[in-house]
Amino acid sequence: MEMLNLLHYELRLHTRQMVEWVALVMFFVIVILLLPFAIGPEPDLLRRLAPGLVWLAALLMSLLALDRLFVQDARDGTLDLMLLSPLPLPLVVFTKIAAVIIMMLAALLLMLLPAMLLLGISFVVLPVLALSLILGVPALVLLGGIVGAITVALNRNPALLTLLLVPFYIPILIFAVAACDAVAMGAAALPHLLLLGAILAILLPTAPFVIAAALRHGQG
Amino acid sequence: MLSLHNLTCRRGLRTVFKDVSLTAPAGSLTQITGVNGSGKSSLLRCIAGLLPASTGHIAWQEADIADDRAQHQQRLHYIGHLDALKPELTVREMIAYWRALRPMDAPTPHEDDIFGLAHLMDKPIRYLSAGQKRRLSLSRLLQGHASLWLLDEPSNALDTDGQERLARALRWHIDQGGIALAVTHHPLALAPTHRYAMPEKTQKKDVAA
Repeated sequence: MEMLNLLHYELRLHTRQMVEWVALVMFFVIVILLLPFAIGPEPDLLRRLAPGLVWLAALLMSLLALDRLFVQDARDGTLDLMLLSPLPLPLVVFTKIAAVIIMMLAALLLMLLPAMLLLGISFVVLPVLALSLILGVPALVLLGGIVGAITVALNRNPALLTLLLVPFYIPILIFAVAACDAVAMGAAALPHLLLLGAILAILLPTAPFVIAAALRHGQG
Repeated sequence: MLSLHNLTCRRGLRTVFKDVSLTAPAGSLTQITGVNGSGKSSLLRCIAGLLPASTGHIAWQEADIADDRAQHQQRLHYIGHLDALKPELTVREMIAYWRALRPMDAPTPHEDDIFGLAHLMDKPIRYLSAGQKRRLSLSRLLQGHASLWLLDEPSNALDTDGQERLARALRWHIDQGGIALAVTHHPLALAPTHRYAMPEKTQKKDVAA
């Protein structure tokens, strides 16, 4: 119950910062829009590359979105209140992350249709791509939360976050794109999606505790 | 009763403060003074449990606060020099958010609007002046009934009316048997019952600071 209450305010905070989310979506659109020009207008090539391009754009977008996960709260003093809350810190942390996941997924799924038209993604691949985003994006945000909490704790530049994060993103990117490729070539996408789900299943219960520990330790 | 025993805080190689011992009985307001960089703010953060002490310990009614962190956090309010305000939210939403972070708090005992925020409730925080923001931050004190108030320069940016309102809140808190610790250079509108001066630092640490 308290969690829903907190989530409600986190989401409201995000919707009030809509300009920043629109900027992120525009970033995604620009990447999708410019790549055909960079690669060349060959429909077959674009169709083959499309899931990879969408995922790359989503990944870059998540890197841009993540630096505000804890940095802002640390700067304005809200982090102190989170740490002083009698609620379990992992729970408070989880509501923040859940809000970002919801916003990211909403933005990406909304952009999937324009991306489909621009890149010529087939109707067979689209649901798999959507599913890979639904399973993969929460994992990106949870990983980003861990590294974000560590950069806040160390009081370092958030740019460091990007550098530390990319290696951990690679498996997610590989399995997500592999799922889309598999279905495009008539093979089963399920094994790849299950692996994505496994990554998420590991991160979901553990990451909030790791983040909470990093934030607490960082105060010292 | 809150008591600190030989509290020392080190961060890395730097000693922030050393050998702080003080006792604050129920129903007291202690003013903590000291030169800039003497570790006053860090001391408050230590008492709040936000910063670990290197040596020494902090006790509440003879029980070490480290034994039950959740309970300690439930009984204190910490007003740091950061306002913890989100410019995008309205005053009402901000207060509701703080309440969501402390759901176990009893309903606010003070129904009357002690910090004079009633007419600002639906205003976005980005439009508030510095003094109004400070009042909003301070209004957190009246949420629930915490027995320990930790105030870092509470009267910054407050006008005389705001300072009197703060004094009234402190008076009420002390009358209830609460404990307040305030770090401040300016005299508070309410005369403190106790004073504590941060210990002087030796030459070596001054260089490090």
